[in-house]
Amino acid sequence: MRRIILAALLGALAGLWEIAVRPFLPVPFMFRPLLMIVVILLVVSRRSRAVAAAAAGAIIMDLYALPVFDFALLRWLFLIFCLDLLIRHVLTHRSWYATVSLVLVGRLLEYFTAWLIGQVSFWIGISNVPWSRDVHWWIPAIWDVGFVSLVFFILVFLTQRFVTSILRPEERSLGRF
Amino acid sequence: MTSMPRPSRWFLIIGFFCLSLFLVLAGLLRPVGDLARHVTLPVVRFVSKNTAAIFLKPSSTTSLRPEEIQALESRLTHLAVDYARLKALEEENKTLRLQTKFLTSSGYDSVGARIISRDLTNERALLLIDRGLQDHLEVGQAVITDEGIFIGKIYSLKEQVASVELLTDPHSRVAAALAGEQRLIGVVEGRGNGAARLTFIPSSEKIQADQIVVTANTQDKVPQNLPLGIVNAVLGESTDPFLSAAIEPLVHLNQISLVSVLRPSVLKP
Repeated sequence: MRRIILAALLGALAGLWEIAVRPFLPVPFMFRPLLMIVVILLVVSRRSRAVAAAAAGAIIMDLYALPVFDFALLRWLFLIFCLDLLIRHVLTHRSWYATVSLVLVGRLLEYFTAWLIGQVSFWIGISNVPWSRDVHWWIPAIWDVGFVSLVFFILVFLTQRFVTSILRPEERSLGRF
Repeated sequence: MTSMPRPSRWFLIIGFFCLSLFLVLAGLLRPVGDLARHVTLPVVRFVSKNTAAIFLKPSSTTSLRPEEIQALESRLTHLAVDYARLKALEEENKTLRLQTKFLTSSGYDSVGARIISRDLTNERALLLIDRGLQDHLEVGQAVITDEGIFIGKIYSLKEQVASVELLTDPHSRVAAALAGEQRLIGVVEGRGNGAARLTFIPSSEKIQADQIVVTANTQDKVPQNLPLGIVNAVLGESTDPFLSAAIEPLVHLNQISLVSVLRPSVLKP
């Protein structure tokens, strides 16, 4: 339970970053940490912790959303649901490229769900402001890849969690252990 | 004895989504949101204040090209002449007001607000400020900088926060006049990406570059004569029924951290 609360706190801080820090930063530093945290938690920890982090961050984003109609909480829960399906059925192995693929798919899904909700709410008249793509949409994606790669390699180095212990045939024949 | 069948996971997920959507659209979660905002606003305000203090520094003039500096100096000279003329008019006005015991109050008072979030993209120019319904703000009220320059209008309100539509937002429309003239000359339309355009200027109007554009007296909650921009270039032919003009805002809209909202004095708590 304590770890879930810790994950939620981390998610809330990420949400706070997205609404109160990121808009004032110079363009190269406009990264969005919530997805990175969620993906790392999904890969190396448990789904419940990822859900806690995503929900806490999304609630903060919903509370301080600008007039474009958004429902960040539902969007992020849906996103976790999709990423969890991917991690269970497609990207089942814990490797660097699986983690990077997961974060990139997550970023695309995040943009897509925001676009979908924004457009639908505009068409049915809930909001007068249509969703618009961030000019520098690729900057968060670059940060996503860099950050999850760094954390993944640090975790592998420190914990040896994802290092395979099965010897390859040529290593056996050479007597390497 | 038969046991009740357990609802499937999918049923629960879809039910939760639908219920949440209904609660949000019906506004039933608004009190919860207001309470949560009440608790978290001091933290958000603290964080945005410190971030803005670090990153929103005025840009250095050393990055300007020589021709840009020359153009700015030329504009400054024009403005200095205008300023001197307006100063003289202001003195004269002050004397006249005293003589006639004219009511000096403009009928508005201001509420200071801090920008806690913003969305400045090509297609949007919106700010989120830490004042809302509890400060007696209303949709459409004018938002100005501390120098009294008009930057936008209140767009939507919640209990503790409000969003501001900047004059460069593509959906923004502001009735405008030329400084020193009372009559409406056109509409300032936002063009996104920090640009605005004065449109529907009758071709009979005498308008030229470097003239100051102010708010006109045709909007309910926006006082007249608030400076909002400077004419960069006049576009159109003399044979056109209407002209337009490129307008440059008088402040860097991406470097503002504090604003004031003008509300009619009768709404003052």
